[in-house]
Amino acid sequence: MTAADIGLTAPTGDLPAKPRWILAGLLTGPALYILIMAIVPAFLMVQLSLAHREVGGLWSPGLELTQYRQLATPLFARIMGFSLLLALTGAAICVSLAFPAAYFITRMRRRAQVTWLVFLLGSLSLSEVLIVFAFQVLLSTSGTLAGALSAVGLLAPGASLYPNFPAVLTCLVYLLLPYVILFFYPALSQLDPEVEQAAATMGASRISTFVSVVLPMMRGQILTGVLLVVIFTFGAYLTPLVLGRPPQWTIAIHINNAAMGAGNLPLAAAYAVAVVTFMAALLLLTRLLSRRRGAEA
Amino acid sequence: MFGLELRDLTKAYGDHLAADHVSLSIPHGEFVCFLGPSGCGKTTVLRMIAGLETPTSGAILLNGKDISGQPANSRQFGMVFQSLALFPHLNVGENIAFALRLRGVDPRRRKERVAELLELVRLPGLQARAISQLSGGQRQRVAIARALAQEPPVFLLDEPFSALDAKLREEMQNELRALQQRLKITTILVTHDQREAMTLADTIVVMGEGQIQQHGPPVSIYKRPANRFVADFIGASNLLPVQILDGQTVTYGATALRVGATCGVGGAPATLAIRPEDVVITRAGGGGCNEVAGIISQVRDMGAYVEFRVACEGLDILGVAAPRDWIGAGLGEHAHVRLPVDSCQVLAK
Amino acid sequence: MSLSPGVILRRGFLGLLALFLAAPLIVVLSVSFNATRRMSFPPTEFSLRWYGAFFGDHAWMASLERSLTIAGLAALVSVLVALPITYAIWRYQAKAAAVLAGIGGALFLIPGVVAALMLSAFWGVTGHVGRLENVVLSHAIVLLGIPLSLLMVGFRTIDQAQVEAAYTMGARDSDAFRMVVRPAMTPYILCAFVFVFVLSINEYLIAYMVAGFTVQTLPIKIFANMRQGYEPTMCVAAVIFMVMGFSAFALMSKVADLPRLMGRTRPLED
Repeated sequence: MTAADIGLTAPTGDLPAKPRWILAGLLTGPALYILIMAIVPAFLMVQLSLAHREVGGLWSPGLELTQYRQLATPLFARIMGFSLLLALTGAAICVSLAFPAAYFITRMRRRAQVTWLVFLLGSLSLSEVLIVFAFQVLLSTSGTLAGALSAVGLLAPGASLYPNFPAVLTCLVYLLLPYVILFFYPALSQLDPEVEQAAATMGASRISTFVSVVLPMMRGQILTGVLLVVIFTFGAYLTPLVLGRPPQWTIAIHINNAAMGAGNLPLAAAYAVAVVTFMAALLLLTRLLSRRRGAEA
Repeated sequence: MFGLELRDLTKAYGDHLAADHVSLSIPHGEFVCFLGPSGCGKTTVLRMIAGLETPTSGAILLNGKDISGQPANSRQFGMVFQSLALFPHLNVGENIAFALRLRGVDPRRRKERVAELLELVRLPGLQARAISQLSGGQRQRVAIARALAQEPPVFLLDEPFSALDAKLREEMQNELRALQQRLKITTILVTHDQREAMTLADTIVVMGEGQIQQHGPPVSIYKRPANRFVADFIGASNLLPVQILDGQTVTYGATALRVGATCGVGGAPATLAIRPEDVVITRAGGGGCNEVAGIISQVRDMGAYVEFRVACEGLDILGVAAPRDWIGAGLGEHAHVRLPVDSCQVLAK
Repeated sequence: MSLSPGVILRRGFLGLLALFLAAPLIVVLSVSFNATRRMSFPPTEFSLRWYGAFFGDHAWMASLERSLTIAGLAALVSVLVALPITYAIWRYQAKAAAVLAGIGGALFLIPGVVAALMLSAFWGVTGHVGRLENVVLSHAIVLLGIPLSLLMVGFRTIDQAQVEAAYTMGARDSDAFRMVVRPAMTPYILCAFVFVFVLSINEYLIAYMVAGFTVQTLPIKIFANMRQGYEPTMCVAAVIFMVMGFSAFALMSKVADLPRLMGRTRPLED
């Protein structure tokens, strides 16, 4: 369920007469809505990032780079660096769990597959608030996990398993796993079993088939899956806020703090523009990488 | 004229002409098969007739009236699609009654008509069955019944039987032919299967590269192909490169061959076409005319007949012999093939 | 049936994965039935008292109602916007519609916090702040990618020949839509609606940044509670989310072909 799925079908027939009027009727409303709710806010954000900050959370239109200069500070570099580290670690864990999981699920019988899909969709849709809360309970001093660990002496009695980096990472992986599994699902379910059978007739074991046939075929998908995790992690707000300490705060928290806390909307906007630019660059890089590899093969 | 007429029907996709000045008259009640390899434009012509595709130029006339400007939903030619296009959310009866419902036919009359049509396609009593519960052959019949429900002036079928296995296909072909003759409805079927076309059609229209290559009764198309394309596409043919000597003679390598008639001037290159079943093989050669000596390069005993190839003048000539006529020769032996005068056809190169 | 090491490994892996995914849910569920006020897991004594407290509390009920309203309206808006776009792509191959769909899909891919900032700035500039409809329209646009892709999957399942067959039987465009397209699309429309509904009702950050001070949705209220200190009624709210989400998708799997909806096109035997 990404933009990539929205493709064109190719009907064989001619277009019916006068589709212009029909199209205008169909698309005017949606176009206006998208223009007002997506294009205008996007431009507004760019404009905001160049605006002049006034006292008391206000701003006036301008064309200055004051906020962008703040991006050149070591603080911003450190935040971005940490966000990226968190994102890439999360991506590595998520993809290496999600890929085999999706592979196994696509090869199950219908009933089992549907059950897994319902389970994944259900947990995917759960509010981040709720998951964070559940992890808080699970990891808290009075929780079983902490109790069990301190019982075997791995944890000082009364100590808590959060806030820290592993807690943030675990919760992020939890939030993202269903997404990434479902992201791999279409491509892996399309994989022709005969390709693997062909490899088997040539003497490949199941594991070597998986490594030498399935994985390379899915290279582009895997890269995009990593990107998906990175995008989500950069936008994650509640998880690092609740389960982490300030050093583990992602860019999302800083954007939110600038906007809602400090009342410095232009700075928040500049952060946001920088994040989106960074994402676009990553997207481009992923495309380039998967295309180059594809051409070589 | 009473019937369907196509006048210079042309469909261009960019530079590519899918249909190139197709002109044809189809008398009322005739069964016509458009036959050709894939991509020859036959489906495009059918879709233009149905009104699903707008011609780039040319006209379609029904009973003398130009209907080119009418959309598919006012032509209402019944059509059976290659994928059948049955509506999965409707049952058999509802599928068949679809056109009647659109016309506001009252429910009682609708029910009678559906029963009638199911009787016609030999599926009585299957009204309430879901489409997903039907076999391949039953689906075909429902699609045919659905297309006939509106009593269309022209009945169109686009490769309807291509998904069926050989036995069922033949059964459906026979039924369709019987049905068409009973209803006397002008029918156009598109196929790439020449056997199907030979079985069904009053007239076969051979299409290639967007153009009508030849049209006429099945036997004449088989016996007298108009050009190399038709000779090659319909049945198996030996196509030998020859040179025209005079009005009745051509030369194949060093051998002069007498033929019924030639076309073109002396010295011009041409193609001699002869069907394998017309090729006569002998061991010694009778010393008569139109004999070529060669070496047997392949023998396949198919039980019902023997297929052989004789390498003559650098080309294999393919022949078929009845088992009792077979000379019993083996691979590499010398033999003679005779190309009877009446069976040789000279086509432009 | 003897189990090979491969099968054991696979089952073990999937079992652990399921356990990991289920663990937080089990925690919340059992804490909500806990009799004591202390947040403790495992629970000590079974009780329904927090359920009573939740459903008896006006503030909680108001939040629930608000969330349901927002989710219902947001799902409605996004499906109503996505339907003409996907129809235009499928039926007319309209380039303009493809561009709109592209924007919708791209929005789904930008980080949540950026979308939230964009939209809160937008509502701030319009001067129309702190209103319920802000959340509705914001959720509908951010989640637009979901109905776009689900409805596109739906349209792709309709053989164009079916529509053409309807034409050859005398159907006009509107008849074809009513008699062929709509029946085939109903399950997909329903699924798109449910999907957006469930994601909207769970969404925190956008709702908070767009109108959080005045429009307290259920996630906002839960989070506010969490920050102020633990109160067991919030577990009940959490359980409501879980029940709603899982039953919605379970229902969806009954109405529609879920594997196909999630992008499988290769046939799957029962």
